[in-house]
Amino acid sequence: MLNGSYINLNMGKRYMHVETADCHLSSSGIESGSSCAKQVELTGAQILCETLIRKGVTVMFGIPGGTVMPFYNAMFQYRDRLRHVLCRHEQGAGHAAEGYARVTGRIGVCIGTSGPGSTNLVTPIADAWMDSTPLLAITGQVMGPLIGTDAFQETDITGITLPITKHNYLVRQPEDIVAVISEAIDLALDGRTGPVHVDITKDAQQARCIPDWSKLESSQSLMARRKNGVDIGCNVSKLTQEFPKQVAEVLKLLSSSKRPLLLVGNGVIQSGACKLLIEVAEALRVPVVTTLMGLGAIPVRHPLNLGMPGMHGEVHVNKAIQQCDTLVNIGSRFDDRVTGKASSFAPRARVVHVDIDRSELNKLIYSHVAIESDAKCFLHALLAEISHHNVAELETERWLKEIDSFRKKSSGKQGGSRDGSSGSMLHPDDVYSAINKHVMSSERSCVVTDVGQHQMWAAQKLHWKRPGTHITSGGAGTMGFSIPAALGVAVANPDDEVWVICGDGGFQMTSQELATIQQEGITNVRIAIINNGYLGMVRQWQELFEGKIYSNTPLSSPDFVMLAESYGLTGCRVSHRDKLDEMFNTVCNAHNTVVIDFRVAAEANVFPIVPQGKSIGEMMLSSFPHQSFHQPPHHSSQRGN
Amino acid sequence: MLERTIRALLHDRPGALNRVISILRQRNLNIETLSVIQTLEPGVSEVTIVVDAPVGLVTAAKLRRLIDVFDVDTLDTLQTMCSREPNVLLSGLLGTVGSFNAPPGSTQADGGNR
Repeated sequence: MLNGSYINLNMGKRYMHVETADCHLSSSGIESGSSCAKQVELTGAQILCETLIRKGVTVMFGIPGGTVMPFYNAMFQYRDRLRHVLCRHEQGAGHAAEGYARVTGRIGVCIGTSGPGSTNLVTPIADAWMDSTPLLAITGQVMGPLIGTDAFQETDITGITLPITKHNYLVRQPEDIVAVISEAIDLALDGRTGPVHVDITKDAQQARCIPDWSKLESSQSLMARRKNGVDIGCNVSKLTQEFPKQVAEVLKLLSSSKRPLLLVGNGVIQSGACKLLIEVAEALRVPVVTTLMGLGAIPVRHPLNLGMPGMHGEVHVNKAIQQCDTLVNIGSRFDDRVTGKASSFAPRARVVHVDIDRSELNKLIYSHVAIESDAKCFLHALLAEISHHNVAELETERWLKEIDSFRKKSSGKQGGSRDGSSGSMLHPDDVYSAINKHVMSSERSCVVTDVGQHQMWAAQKLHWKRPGTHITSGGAGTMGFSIPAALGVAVANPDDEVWVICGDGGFQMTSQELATIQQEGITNVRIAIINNGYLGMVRQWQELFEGKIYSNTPLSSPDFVMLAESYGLTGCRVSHRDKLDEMFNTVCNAHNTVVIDFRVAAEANVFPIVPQGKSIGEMMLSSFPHQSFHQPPHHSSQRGN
Repeated sequence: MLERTIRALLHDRPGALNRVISILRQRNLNIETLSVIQTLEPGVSEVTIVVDAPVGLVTAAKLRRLIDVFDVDTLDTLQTMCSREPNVLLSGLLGTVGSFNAPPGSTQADGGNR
């Protein structure tokens, strides 16, 4: 490689430049030795690659195009240290980066060109914004002098991503790249994680400068802001002065409570506080409910885990929330799908809200104690407080029995079970039981769900055991999330079995990424299509709330088996219950990515369901109006909203 | 409760004001007056905005969350009289303000966003 001395200067600067870069490359990212000058001039694109590598990025997902070509050109030189996964659509690249970030806790990087390449990234950026996923979106931009002239493939993409990113940057000169990229990555991972977007003009990628690597570290005050949490590995902005007092107050509230309840969400998983959570719950003997994004924080079978609350939460969980007198929310944000009508949510409870983001506190639900803290910091402090004061288990025996009686009362009514199927016909329930038996029992499996009925069934029925094994699009509800996200998960964890559960609607939104899976030689993905021939969740709402007018919800599909095979993957179909076990045994040992078309009962519904705008005390348990669960209105609401 | 004035210290660079205004837009707040002035600290500008409804803690927290915002204060009418007006007057006199249409001191100045 080191043939720099043979360069014919007449070949032009570009070639000479490649040589010097190779020289730099051969020294594994450290300033090179005697054969290369220390001050190597690099193009913006090379600086970009080098910065990403120095910040620990190893994988990126994207698609090349006119304005990112210099970046892709440089990427070719760095290909042994910077893997690029070529996706089929920028949306797929974005979701793949999200999937990668969600299982690794590292930054997910996606790349698109200017114009349509960048607008296609808007959906995954918005998705990452809603679910607080650390994502770095890099887009090309037209040449600096052309900005604002309606140039070919020019879009004001920083204007578009402004409200859905933590921050975005437009880089116009190569000198800024080191500082901007390192700040962008630090920012995406700092505090409440989220997406950051960097738009780089083509001329900034092409122009040369001597990079100032000192800017890698000096990413402003971001790192300094974290210092309080560092000793216990927390990712936190400075804790407030009242923090210790507030923790003591929370413990006092819990100790004086007869019906305490913990509500936990994604924050607990993201901060790696699941063990602490279980310790706290066990130490105080307080039951726990987990939101959709918090599934896996505490095993489903744990005696103190009640399940998932909200619109499709179980009856006893919602009832427990409505009856509890102290509700401690750790790392979830009172989403409307959890609270239902906010003014009648947990009417008897004193609410404690712990969130890393101050702007979430008192946003929707008034909190008696509002604590700005990382979940891990808080749980750590609470546990210390418990042991410091020798607080024993609370007397929650009666409360737990009460919740158990809610569970027993509702278990017969719930689910409108096996509606719409008969005989050996396949019902969604059968598929989920089989997944529990064959997949959830494995220590090396991860489930990625899409959005819709199948997602809610998975959340309700599957036996989540560990954090990071349930990946889904929660806040944004992005149909088409699952296949590309699973691609990202499979890239991060090539030895795990990555299961996708999606509907026939969501599958068809991003199924092009099957080609990416095939091209990358990924063999550990298993895609279960819960195929009911409808946009099922919308159909269910039409059935229940729109007079059974199935406007534009019946959906035709290609032959999924043939489709999978045409992509070079394995396809199979199951329509009968008795074939399930046999099929799962084959699929779990497959040496290729498999697409399974489960032809299930067309009109099965997700129950319970809380109609939109209603209190979570008002659940529908089946399609029949008399089977609903209505809680008598409480008389003494302690809080308004 | 009647805090309708926002005073914020911003990074003095393109787009910073846009980020602040974008939060107000999302929360459906209309701007009555707006003034931006460079401070003595290099790279820091101060913006004073009066909106048509109380600002609220969540909005203030969302503003504080912005990377280009160093500090945010919300003021009520009385505080505004005492602290904002001299500011606006000063900014008018110094002539360093970009977005101030009305005569200095006028509270009815149109921010130009309607």
